Amino acid sequence: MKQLRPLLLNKNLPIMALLITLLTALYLLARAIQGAEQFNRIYIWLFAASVLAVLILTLIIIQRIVWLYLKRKDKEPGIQLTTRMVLMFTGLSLPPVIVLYLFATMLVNQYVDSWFDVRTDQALNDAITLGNTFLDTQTLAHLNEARSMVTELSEVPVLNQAIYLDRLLDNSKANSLSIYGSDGQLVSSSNIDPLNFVSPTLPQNTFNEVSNNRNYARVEPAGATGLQIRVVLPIFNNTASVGSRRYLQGLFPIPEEYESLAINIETQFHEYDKQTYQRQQLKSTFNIILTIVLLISVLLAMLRAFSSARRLVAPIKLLSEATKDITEGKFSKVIPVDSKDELGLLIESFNSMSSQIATSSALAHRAQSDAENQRAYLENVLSHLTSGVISIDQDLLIRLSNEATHKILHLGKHSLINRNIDYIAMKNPTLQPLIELIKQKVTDKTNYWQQEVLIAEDSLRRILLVRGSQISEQEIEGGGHVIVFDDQTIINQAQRDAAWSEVARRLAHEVKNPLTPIQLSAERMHMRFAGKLSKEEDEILNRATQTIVSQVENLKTLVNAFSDYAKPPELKKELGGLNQLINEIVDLYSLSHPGIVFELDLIEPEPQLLLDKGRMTQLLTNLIKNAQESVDEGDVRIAISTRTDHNQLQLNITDNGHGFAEDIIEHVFEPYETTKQGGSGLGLAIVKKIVEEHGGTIEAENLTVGARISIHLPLA
Amino acid sequence: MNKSWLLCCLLLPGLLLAEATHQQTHQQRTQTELLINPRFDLEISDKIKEAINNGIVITFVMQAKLFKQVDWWFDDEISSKINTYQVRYFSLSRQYQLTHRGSDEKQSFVTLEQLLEHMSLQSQFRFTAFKQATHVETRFFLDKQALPSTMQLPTVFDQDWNLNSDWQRTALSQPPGSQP
Repeated sequence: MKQLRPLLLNKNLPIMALLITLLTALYLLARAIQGAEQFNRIYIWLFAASVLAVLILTLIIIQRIVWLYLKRKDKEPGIQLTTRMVLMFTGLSLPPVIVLYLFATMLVNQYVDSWFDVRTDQALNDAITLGNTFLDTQTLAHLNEARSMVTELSEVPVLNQAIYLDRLLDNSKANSLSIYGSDGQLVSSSNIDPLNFVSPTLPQNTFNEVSNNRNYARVEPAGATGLQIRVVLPIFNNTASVGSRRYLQGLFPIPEEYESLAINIETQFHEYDKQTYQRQQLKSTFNIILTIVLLISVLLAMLRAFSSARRLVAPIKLLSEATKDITEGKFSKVIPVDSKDELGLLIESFNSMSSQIATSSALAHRAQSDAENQRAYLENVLSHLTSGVISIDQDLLIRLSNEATHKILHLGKHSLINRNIDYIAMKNPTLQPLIELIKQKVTDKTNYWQQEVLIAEDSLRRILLVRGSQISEQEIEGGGHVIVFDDQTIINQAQRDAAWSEVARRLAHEVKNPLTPIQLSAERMHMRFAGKLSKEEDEILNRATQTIVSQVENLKTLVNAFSDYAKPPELKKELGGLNQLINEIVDLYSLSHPGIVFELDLIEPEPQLLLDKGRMTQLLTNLIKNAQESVDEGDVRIAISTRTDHNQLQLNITDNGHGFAEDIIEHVFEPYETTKQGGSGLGLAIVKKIVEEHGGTIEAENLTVGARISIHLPLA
Repeated sequence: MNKSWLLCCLLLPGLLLAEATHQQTHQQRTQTELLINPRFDLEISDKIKEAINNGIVITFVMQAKLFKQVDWWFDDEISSKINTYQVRYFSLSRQYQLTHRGSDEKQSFVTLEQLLEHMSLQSQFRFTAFKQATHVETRFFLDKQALPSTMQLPTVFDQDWNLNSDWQRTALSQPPGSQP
């Protein structure tokens, strides 16, 4: 169907056929007007050509209607207007043509009827009757005359009849007298005008009639327009036998003065009769021709309506298409200006407008591109910031956020743009204090503010340093607020660690110095007074000096531990694994503390790390010791496992002890955070320090039974 | 009464319709000529009679074509002849005149039936070039294009005016001793 569509909608083909038909009709018309007979011969073909033209025009109109339907279906621009204009033009052209048709039909019918009236009809009938009566009288007279001739001839011998015929002719009004034999052959003839003598014939039908003993006397046409009276009678010759019967034929003219009148009457009567007879056919023919003319006029008007509508709508259609192009961002379309009328001016204005829009659009596009570049640059810069940045408007809608925001606020990858600030709290309820603070500051319209916010997430406490600044409406339309925040947890921890190191260093320095004199003074005092005092006093002295010495030793151990924490020995890192170190320490502990059950799950082959074995031994010792001491009663079970995780070695030490107190678990790696009686509180602090010296991280968590320390160390 | 009326109604249209039925084609062969005399049984409708009686000149055409049969192809036309007759009515003489247009021979008849019978019987075609002819085709028709132009359109599809016998093929009898 789609392949046939171009052929069906081909406009040139039917128009060509129509032109050929009309040219053929014109040629036929030119030939027809050359003569009446020629016109009669060609008339029907002329009519056929007209009917064919009507059919082709009908097909063209149907084709146009189908075209209109298909275009309406495709919703082509301008087709609605085309339809309306076609209907309007057709509607305007139809009434006058139809009125003219009806008027012409009525006029023709009345005009044709006016040609005929009863009186003329009657007069002509009377005239023809009169003529008939006259001719009958003439015929009867000539019949009687012929009878007399036959009577005379019957008495004349057969051989003399030819001679006697001339005498009869002289005494009669006949033009010609002839005698025919019984076979109808001419025997003799006498003509009044011997110079123009033409042998008269006896028509076969006449002979047939008279051969049956009947007289023949009739008026009959003679020549092209004349009349004559033919009288044929059998000659009853007394001397002749029946088989040799002869016949007399007399051709009598009509008197000239009467003949012309009679012929005139007959001619007029025939013409009138013919016209009367053709009256209905004439009206039918006129009606048919008028109908053909009407159809051709209406169809041509419709065709013209289609053509005019399309021509008028064409620039509007172009404008519509160009407008659509502009809405789609294509400004380059220029409509050709074909006319200088109002539509032409409109198209020129449109072209000018589209050109201006194209220029403006290019400028806007460039400005937009610049803005996009600026925005991309800003986003790039923001994405490289370690601080979280959020920009919100007066309605607390987030307009801008960077990647660091998602990392610091633990929000995953949910987009925050165009969401209310409460969305952050909804995604991470622990951030509620932060959101409340921001909302309060925005409501208060504080120009610049800075505040630390504590965020408690399960086992993790984080400190966010939040800074905010208000953006005035002069700077950004509608105004807004910029909030920058940093995770201060690590910094605070580092500061605390540094403070503790300083405290430990000073404590070691200030406490260690007087210990040796104290110990020496106590030993000297024991040496000086030992055995010189009473037994009871001597015993007191011994106990006191031993207490002083032992306590000084304890203090020295404590001070050394502080000293180690404050100023660790220089690391001597070397490539190696942890498995051997773990096995050695576990073996030693198994010998010295047989009650401890170790469960080892060490990865094989062991991953290589850069580590200081001495410090790492201290780390393992401290952790195993802590685990052992955490068990208050029953078997001590310590599980040690290693595995690799993201280019790191993960070391887990799990015990079945009482775990860490909930209130100190967040600060368990800080000095003096211990639940043990007599503990220095530096064990886990030193462990953490060693881990950090090796570039690792450490975490502590309570289990259902016991606790677990997890250490992550980078692989070599 | 009712039955006869009904019968009339049923038969009348058939009686009124014009009809030209081919009866036979006489052929007469001489040394130099082949005479063809087709006979048609002619029934003309009342409308045609009415037209003639109202002074309309009616033209009848009798046409004959000689053919030589060709195997697997169209027959070869050897010769074609036309006899054109005009019939007119004279009110004063109350006679019908038959005119042969070729010879301008005129004959008068008291009745139309006599005229038609005469036309059918007397129409004759003379062919001189007929040696290779195998068959003749004849037809008789009323020439509507010779009618007055006002009458042509209404009679185009009018069966009463459709007096046309179509082509009638008649094989020519071969002379004695000729090869089949």
